[in-house]
Amino acid sequence: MFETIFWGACLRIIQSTLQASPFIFTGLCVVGLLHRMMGQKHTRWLFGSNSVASLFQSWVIGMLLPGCSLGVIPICKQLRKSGIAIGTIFAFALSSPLFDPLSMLYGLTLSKPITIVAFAFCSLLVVTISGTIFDRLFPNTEVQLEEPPETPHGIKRLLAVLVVMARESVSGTAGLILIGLCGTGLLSMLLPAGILQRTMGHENPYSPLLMTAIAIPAYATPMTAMGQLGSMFQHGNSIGAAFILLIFGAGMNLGLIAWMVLNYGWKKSSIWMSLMLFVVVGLSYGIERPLYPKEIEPADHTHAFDSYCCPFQRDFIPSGGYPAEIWRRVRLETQTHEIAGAIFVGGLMGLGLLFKCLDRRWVIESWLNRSLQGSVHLSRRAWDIVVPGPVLAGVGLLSIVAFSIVGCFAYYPAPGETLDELNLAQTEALTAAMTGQREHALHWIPICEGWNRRLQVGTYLRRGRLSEYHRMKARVLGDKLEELEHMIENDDSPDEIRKHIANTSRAYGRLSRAYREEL
Amino acid sequence: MRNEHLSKLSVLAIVIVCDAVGCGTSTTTIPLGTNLEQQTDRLEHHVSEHRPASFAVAVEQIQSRHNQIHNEIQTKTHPALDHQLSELQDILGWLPEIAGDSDLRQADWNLVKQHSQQLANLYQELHQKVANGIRPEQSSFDKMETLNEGLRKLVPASDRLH
Repeated sequence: MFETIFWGACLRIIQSTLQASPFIFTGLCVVGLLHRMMGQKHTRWLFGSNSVASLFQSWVIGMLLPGCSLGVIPICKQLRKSGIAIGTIFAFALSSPLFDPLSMLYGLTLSKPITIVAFAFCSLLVVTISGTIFDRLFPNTEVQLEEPPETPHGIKRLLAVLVVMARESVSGTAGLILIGLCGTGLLSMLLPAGILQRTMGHENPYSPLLMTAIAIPAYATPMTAMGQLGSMFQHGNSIGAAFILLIFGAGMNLGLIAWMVLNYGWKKSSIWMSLMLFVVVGLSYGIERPLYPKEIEPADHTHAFDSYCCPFQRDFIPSGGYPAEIWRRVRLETQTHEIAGAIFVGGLMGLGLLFKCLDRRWVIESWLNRSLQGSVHLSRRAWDIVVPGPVLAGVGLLSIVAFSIVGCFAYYPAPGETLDELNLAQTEALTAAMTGQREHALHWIPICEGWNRRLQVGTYLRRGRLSEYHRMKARVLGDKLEELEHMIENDDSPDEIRKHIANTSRAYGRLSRAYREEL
Repeated sequence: MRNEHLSKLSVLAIVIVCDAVGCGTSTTTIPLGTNLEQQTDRLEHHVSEHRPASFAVAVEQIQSRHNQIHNEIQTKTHPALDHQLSELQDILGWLPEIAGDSDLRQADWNLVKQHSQQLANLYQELHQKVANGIRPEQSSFDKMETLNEGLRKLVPASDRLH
């Protein structure tokens, strides 16, 4: 029992760490650019401070930059150092993890894209209302810190960005991120496997409140949250709870709250949280009925929140032991960009620790900030111009946005390519289901569902539209896969499962034909 | 200073834990700690009894229910059609999804969607008229018949490959 809870929490923390890694790396890149290139003055100009316009500016920047609620922690610290007011920082902190180009595209292909647009608008309302009231209550929250000495242009300036990133990765930020990650472990310890499957019903008036309690300590990347939203729409769950999941699940975590409390004290943090809760929960009840998809027949359960619960059933003891089972799952589930993110963050942390050790004898910043005058001859060619730091920072930030858009094309491949992947996954899933390999089938079915969603987004991305016919074909396959999953979980008779496998295989064939021949 | 921060953090952690546990027990439909096997038993989506299994069956059902309704209206002064019309509307609502699970090609599927919407509108008008004691015109039934005929023509194509 204790072992199940302990190892379950370990698995959840490891999974969240890997999912967060690419976003933490992006956050560190943004910090490096703001700190060494943009400088405090220009950062204040970019984000604004203490005005309604600044709240909007921060919301827009947050929507454009790919981030998650853990990745924004170092950025929030940097914004505070740049003398930006709390309301503006919180507006950015909340909006950045909600959407990014990847998740927005995913959301727009869901059955009711207007819901996602409405959610984005509601998030603007949340940051504007809460931020305006907060800035009125506490008008002087801008911290005045001395601007760090400028690094001379050239390779040293680029190295300085790397040094900032490395130092930040082993600073208090790491502790705050760890607190945020512990939230997922805490939830998995409190919630036994599958306990939330029959909650969050549309008719249950407490769904948004229950979601608030779960979503605050939870951690979700924008894509995870969007996937959960999609599942909630599909199962006819509470729309208000879905909105809260997006705002608090994706936008907030314990590490971010800890940062607020440490930097602004209990009083201000509590008032901010109360304002947020009031506005978000109020809005969630307001949108429950107007945005509820009436054509959906509500299911009596959902799998959307399984990832917040303990990953192991109470009596489940893996044959090779828990560490081996954790390793197996991590190896199977981790995606390439998560591995890359973890390697980059790990590399930065190693570098950061090295700088900390070197600090006793030699501080790298003093070498970086030393002027080149005298050591380099000053005659330069006409094209060898010095690009100002803020321009480079602007280009850097735009490059991150552009990279995330390019990333969409890689993450959501062309339909033909996706169908090949889906074919492989469905063959694995259906063969495993046919031969009674329960665990193998239950592993591959969600992968099929993932490729099925990516097929739609990839098509939408390349053609600018997705016909109702193609959406329907994907929906039919999605429903069949989910039904198969339930049949396996319920230990239905092999004959029934076999019959359903044939139906699922036919649904895949029709989907494949529709996307290959009728686009 | 560090101790102060640590104490703040521990209080925060306790508050969050109490929050999660408290709300979890008071608002979930399944209380924490109940036997999971009882709760996860039989996870399935509810399928209504009158939901047709295939496109061909759906079209046949629409036609037979249409005939019944037509008959009732012609033979009875105050026909009670609420239940029948409500089920018929359900079937028409499901029809695009049922057709999506068939071999119908895009153009045919679009036709099914269009016809099912038009039929749903016509049956809704008919329902209102019957409820208000107005006798529906024959032209409405003719339109419905034409649309039903259009759906019937698509049945062979819905199972072309198997």
